[in-house]
Amino acid sequence: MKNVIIVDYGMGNIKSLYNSLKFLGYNPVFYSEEKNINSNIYILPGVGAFNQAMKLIEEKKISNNLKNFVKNKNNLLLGICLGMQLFFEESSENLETTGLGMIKGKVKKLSDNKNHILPNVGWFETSIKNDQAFGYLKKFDKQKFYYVHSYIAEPIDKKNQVASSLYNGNNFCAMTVKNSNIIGTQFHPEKSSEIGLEFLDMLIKNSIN
Amino acid sequence: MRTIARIDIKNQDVIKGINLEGLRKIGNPENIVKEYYLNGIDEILIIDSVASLYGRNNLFDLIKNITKEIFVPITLGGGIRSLKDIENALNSGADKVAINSKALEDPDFLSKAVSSFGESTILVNIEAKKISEERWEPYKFCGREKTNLNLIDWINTIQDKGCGEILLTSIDKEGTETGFDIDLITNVHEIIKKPLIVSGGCGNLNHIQEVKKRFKDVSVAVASVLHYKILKISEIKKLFL
Repeated sequence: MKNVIIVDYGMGNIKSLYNSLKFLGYNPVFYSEEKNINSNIYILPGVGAFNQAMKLIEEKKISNNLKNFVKNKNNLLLGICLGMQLFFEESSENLETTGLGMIKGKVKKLSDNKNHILPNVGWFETSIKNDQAFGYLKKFDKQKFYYVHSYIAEPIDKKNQVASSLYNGNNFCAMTVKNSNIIGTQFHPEKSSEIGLEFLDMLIKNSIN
Repeated sequence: MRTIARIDIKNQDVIKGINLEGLRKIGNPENIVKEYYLNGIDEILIIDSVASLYGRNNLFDLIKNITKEIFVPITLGGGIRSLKDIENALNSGADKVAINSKALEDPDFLSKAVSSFGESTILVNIEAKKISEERWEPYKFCGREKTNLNLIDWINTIQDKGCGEILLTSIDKEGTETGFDIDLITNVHEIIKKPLIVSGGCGNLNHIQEVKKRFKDVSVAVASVLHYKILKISEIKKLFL
């Protein structure tokens, strides 16, 4: 059974991610610094605030391990929701906080309009572009995935953005990639019913070395 | 707009009442939740309707079991009275908790819950009853106890203290299958700044259509139409394509 590492830095509901991986036939393992677990697939989940998450990641000294992990092109790092946002340089949530800095760009509030409803919650159609490394995900173009968020990532280089969805008529970044082995989704595949499970499964299958 | 299956549970059974009273047994929770999931429901809301009687939520084990094979958001409500309760709910596999009575007794509990677990985890359940013309009141303990608060004031309070969503249940309409409480929703819609889910009264497709037509960004929670097989989930979802 293939090990898949869930990076547990002590925030958010990681139970559903664990259950979805198990359901798909993988062996989900929670990351901790001491253990030497063998897997080329890491998932960085996250629900909650950016500054709190970064604080925990720094405290647990996870940051450098993640950066070293992605140096190997055979390794895959998937970030989900806040997990994806942490890939970026900084976020304006609560306080200006420095992120992992793997992808150039910032995380900012979805809207400052007081009449707009936040968080943005629901199943939204997601447009997926063809990406060289993750071309196989194109088959999920126009599918609906489950989102719950108030912040979005804004990559400076548009080639880091491979999917978008709509909030009050405006496009926002739904999926981001870097090199051929870092990918993040703003939506929650582990909460997006059968289509979300298929998405996760395909990503893992295509990355097993 | 989301379609949320509302599942009220008493002891081991899914139940359905009228005006949150006079409960009728519907069936086994695990089977019912799984059926709705496989038929494409957007979300599931599970409420322990006798939790306040026992002073605690009794559904953690149920949540543990169903989340092994159900992958849509699940909200657990009823008897959520401490940060530890929220932690237990999330550790069982729930994505969010619905809080009513505890918030009414101690509104600051919402701020604490939001700062510990993130606002998207905290849903406030309001059980509203019409008191006089243009005036509604939030009730405690599954519609059993008055609060003497004004609904509008209460909504402003919870939005101020913090929450990720609001579930607005009409006690007057609940279980009647005579349509959502349009007067109630109209009365509060303008001040709502959070995702709103309306519950109580759905009896047919027109009732959902009416909510969709009149209000922007409002989701519906349904129970009777699914439990009594009046509507198929696929029919409801077609309205939102």
